[in-house]
Amino acid sequence: MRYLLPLPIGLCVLALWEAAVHYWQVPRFLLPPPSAIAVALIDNLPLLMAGLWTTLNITLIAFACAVISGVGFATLFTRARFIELAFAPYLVALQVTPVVAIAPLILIWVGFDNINRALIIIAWIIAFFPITASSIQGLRSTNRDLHDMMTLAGAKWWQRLLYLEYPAALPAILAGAKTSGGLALIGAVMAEFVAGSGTSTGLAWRIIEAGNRLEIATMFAALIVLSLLGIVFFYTLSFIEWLLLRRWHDSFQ
Amino acid sequence: MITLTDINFSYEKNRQALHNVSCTFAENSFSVIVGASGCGKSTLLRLLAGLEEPTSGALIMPPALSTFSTFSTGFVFQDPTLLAWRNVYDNIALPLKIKGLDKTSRHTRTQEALALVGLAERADAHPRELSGGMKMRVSLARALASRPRLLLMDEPFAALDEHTRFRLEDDLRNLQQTLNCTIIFVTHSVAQAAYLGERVLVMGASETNDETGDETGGSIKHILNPPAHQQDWRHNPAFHAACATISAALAEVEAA
Ligand SMILES: Nc1ncnc2c1ncn2[C@@H]1O[C@H](COP(=O)(O)OP(=O)(O)O)[C@@H](O)[C@H]1O
Ligand SMILES: [Mg+2]
Repeated sequence: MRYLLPLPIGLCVLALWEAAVHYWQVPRFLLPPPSAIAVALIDNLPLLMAGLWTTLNITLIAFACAVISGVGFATLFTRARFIELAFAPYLVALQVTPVVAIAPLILIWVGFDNINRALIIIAWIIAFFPITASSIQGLRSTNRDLHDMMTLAGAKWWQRLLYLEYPAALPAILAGAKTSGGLALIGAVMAEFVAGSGTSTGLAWRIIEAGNRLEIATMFAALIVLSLLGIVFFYTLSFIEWLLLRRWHDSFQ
Repeated sequence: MITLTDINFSYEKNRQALHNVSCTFAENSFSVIVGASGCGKSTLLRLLAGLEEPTSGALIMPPALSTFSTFSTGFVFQDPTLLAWRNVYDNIALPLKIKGLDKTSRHTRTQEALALVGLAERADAHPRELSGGMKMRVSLARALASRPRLLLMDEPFAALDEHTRFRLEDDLRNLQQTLNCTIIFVTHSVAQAAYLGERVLVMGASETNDETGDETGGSIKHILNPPAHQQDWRHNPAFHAACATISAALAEVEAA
């Protein structure tokens, strides 16, 4: 029941929107009414689904790469103080550099014939930082007594990692993963915008294409599909988080 | 017999934590180390556990309990230090798994330890579902599951309410008689020392040299032997006299 609560608000907004567009006779190429968007959504469904499939693939692969490389790098980073000192400035540099600025370079290096690979790399770089930073923070926060307990049990380094550090860092890693998941999608869309016309077939490209043809209703339709993808992705990650933490973590009492 | 001879230990230069600590612990004895906070009690336990190496001096363990790579030493921390994501059973079984025991012997020992602390029914519970006293029992069970010959306890009941603490103290005394293991128990509570210890070692705080700022570490100043328990011991005048003796020794050490 409480999940239906947002519904009336949405319906009201749509009704007002529809009424306003008709009342003031707003041109279709500026703001189409919701009904026209619905029609565009149905008319373009095959194309939009194909676009969704491409964008979904790029997002998921980039996200998986970001999680694996982020957690892997965080593990390396937290093994020794000197590694941390050596890598820290580069990590900060990666965070503060706007990746949009290096996207064209990556496109050139990887080549326009491997466009999806280039898009994955760009989205990966964008999604990399939050998961890495959270994992580092999580891996660092293990209690000293727990480490002593592992030492007294005679734990080898991998046992300490597996039985203590990763589980203790899991809440932080998952929180980082949610941020990175959102950024992977943003990265995929942004990378397509940068790559520009005719190269890719994702949802972002559908938006550009529809914009060029002033098919604003189609543009909105693609936008809706994109938002739905983002929402489903976010809630899937939240669900995984709930599954893994509900028995023991304080955030799920 | 565990023998310590002139043990010195510093975490940092010019700041000694232990100074010329010499003492012995007989096999199967129950010793309590009492002292003000910061005098080096935890440090001494860490040395005994092999978590730290003495800066100088000799620490001689009987061969049966040398080094923590064997099964012989159990450690109970002030906090229960349980892994929140593992249930009670898996918390107790983890050190056994790390030590490479097979599944059947892990199961036997975990069940045995659960029974010893009276928590057999809560094996499936996660730590957050337990009270403070129960968590401490799990922590004790985890140490006991390794069937230690030496059990080191660092103010383990300090955070518990009095009622729970009394129960755990009695349980621990009973356990010690059945377990045949050496217990070294650290506390800052005089009453606890008098109640638990066959032998009470009073530690003096570290001293700071006003001119150089160097710190001389804590050391053992007195060794007392409280009388054996009698009827209704907590309310027995002889027990209160034992507490007074320990208090006086501590006060003298503090004043020095
Ligand atoms: N990890 C550490 N690094 C540096 N100094 C420490 C550390 N642990 C304890 N000390 C210092 O050593 C002294 C003894 O500490 P500790 O053994 O914890 O005392 P107690 O357990 O009796 O309260 C204190 O002065 C404390 O500040
Ligand atoms: Mg201490």
